[in-house]
Amino acid sequence: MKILVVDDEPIVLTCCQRILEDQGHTVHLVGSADEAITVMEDEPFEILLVDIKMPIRDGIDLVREIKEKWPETSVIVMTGYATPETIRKSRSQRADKFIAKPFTPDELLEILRPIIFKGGCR
Amino acid sequence: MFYSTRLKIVVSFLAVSLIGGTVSLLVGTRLLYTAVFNEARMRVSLDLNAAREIYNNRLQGIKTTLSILSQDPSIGKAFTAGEIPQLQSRLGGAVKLAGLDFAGISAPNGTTVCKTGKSNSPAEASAISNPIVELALDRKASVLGTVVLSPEYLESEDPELADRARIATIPTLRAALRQEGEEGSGLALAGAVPVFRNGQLVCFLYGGVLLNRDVTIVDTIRDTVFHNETYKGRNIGTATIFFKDLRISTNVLTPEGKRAIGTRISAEVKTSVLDEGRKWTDRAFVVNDWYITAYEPIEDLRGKRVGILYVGILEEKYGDIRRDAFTIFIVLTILGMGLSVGLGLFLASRILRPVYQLIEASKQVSAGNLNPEIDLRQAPKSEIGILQKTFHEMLGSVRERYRRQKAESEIQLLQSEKQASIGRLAAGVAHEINNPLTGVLTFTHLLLRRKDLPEDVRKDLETIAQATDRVRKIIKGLLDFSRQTALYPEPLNLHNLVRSTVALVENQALVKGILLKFEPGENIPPVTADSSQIQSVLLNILLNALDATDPGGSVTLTSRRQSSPEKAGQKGVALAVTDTGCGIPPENITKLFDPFFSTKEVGQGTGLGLSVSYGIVERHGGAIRVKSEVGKGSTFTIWLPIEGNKG
Repeated sequence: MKILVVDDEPIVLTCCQRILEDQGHTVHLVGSADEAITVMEDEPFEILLVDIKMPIRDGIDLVREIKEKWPETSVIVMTGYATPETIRKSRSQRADKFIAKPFTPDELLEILRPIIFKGGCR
Repeated sequence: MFYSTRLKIVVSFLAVSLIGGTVSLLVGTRLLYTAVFNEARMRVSLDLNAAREIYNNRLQGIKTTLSILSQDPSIGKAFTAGEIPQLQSRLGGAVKLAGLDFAGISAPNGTTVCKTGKSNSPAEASAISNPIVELALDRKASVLGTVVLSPEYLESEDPELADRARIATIPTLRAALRQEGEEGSGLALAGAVPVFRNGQLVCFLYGGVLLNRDVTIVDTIRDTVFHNETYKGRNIGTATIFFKDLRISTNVLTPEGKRAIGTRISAEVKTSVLDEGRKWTDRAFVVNDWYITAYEPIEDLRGKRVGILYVGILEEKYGDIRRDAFTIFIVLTILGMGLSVGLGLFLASRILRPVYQLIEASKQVSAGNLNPEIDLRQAPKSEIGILQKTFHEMLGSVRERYRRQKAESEIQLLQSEKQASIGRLAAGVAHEINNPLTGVLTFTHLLLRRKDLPEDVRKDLETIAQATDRVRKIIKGLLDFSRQTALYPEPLNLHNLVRSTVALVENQALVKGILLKFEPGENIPPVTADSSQIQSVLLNILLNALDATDPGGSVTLTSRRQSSPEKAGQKGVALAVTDTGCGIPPENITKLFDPFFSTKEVGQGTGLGLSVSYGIVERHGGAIRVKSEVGKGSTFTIWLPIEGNKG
């Protein structure tokens, strides 16, 4: 699958790339929400992995825009601290899944499996 | 506003002194006046007696003259011999000596034989009767007294006398209505004495003094009785002889300064004295001025009231005394009032100064200054002083409380700020750590996936993975701790909460073989609390209790009403979790709620649970307390207030 990872932290991007490419997915990495939009406009991805805490423009807002413009995209939100508010906010923007950092490769794959299984839809 | 009390004090002082002063003024002057007046009246009464004495003395003088003359044998002899000129010269000499106005000799039948007066022809003389001699003849004795002489008689004695006797009546205020005109009759002091020769009545010797326009008697009275005393240029004492109500002999002066002959007495006095024959003493208006007067009737030879004898003292002198006294009284009263005003002001400020001070101090306190100036140096020992001292003490304790509260809230503020900043720091750090930690965790696990690892390498990698996982937990615990979740309090039925929490751990207790029971108390009211947070607290404590207890032991939950362990009077509910576990050693009890304190095995707990629980309960306004005995067990008590919280 083609997966777009959005995070301002390079090490996280590297990890995701390693985990996902190991599974055979195509991974594209961007460091900010705007870049993500640019890429999506150029070539929409089916699955997005979005970090919430980003400078300039946070992940929640990106999720909103992604879901507006490309409603069929599955969006998984990553966060350093899963508080109820954070979960609520991401749910309200219709993020599909939620994962707390740091995670092990297995945990990430576990989250992705239903999405990939369903062919990236709902 | 400030002045109302002072004004009241001053006004009351003033009123008291004014009332007192006025009353004493009125009473005093009245008493004084009465006393003075009565003294004067008494004096005048006595003076009248003295005047009467002088009057009588004059009479006596006449009698003496006549008596001595009558004793002279030459008189009788000359009479018998009919030697008129000789008689006349003898009489004339005596008259001059004695100051008589008229004198004469009468025959036993009453006819006048000779007289000293100018008109002297016997022929005319015998036409007018001689009232004095007539009376002497009637009584067959010598007579002496006051007598009214008709104008004709006076004319016959001496025309000059008749002239003298003529007095024009001058209109006077208050006098009785009478025909204005002239008075011709005269009032005289006269006497008649029989002359004997060889035991036989030879003739009568008579003589007298005409009182009309006479000055001797009245002036003698003035000089003797009144010592010729003057007051402001006027004589204090006056005397008058009235014929009926007409002033005929007086030293009362008219405004022009002449003797007020011809003026008349006031009707009131006339009625009382002349008509009714009473003595009269009072103040009266005499011609010109007010006098304190005394009047008494003058009776003639026959006892008929024919005139009035009067003495009077110028009232002005006494009036002036009275007025001066009155003035002094008034001055004293005014001084008294002034003094009382001064005293009142002084007292008022003495009393009120500390009050003003207190008012000022209170104002300052209201404005926020808890250290107003209160001058206690001159605090009187009275109630005001006590008030001042008490106020001062009260301020002291208010300041103390304020300071303590401030200190406490500062500490609290500091704490919460510290916590907040620690929280922010922790959250920031945690977030930062999480990212590289993801890297470590991910790559360690990725490495572990490799199938070509030597066993020892694999083991080492596993160690790294575990350690990293622990780091993850610690960070999560740190974030949990530093995050002060907002409270969403609602009325909470504790028993329901307890039951649902117990349900969560029931299985665990069962598995471990620990008896878990809940003994709810009676009449437990609902508390206001955030149910999920309180549940996490209870869960935390319960799990700890289960961990600490060995199989076969028990964990008991109880609830009961209890007032605050710290603040007396605040009502609340105490939820106790008692285990029969290993207990907590004393040295650990104090550290129990410190963050990161744990006695658990490495990897078992984060050590954050109790500190977080403590924070949650505290933010509800409650408290967690621990009682423990090593080997016996521990009791954790959560106390929550019934109403509201301090969060």
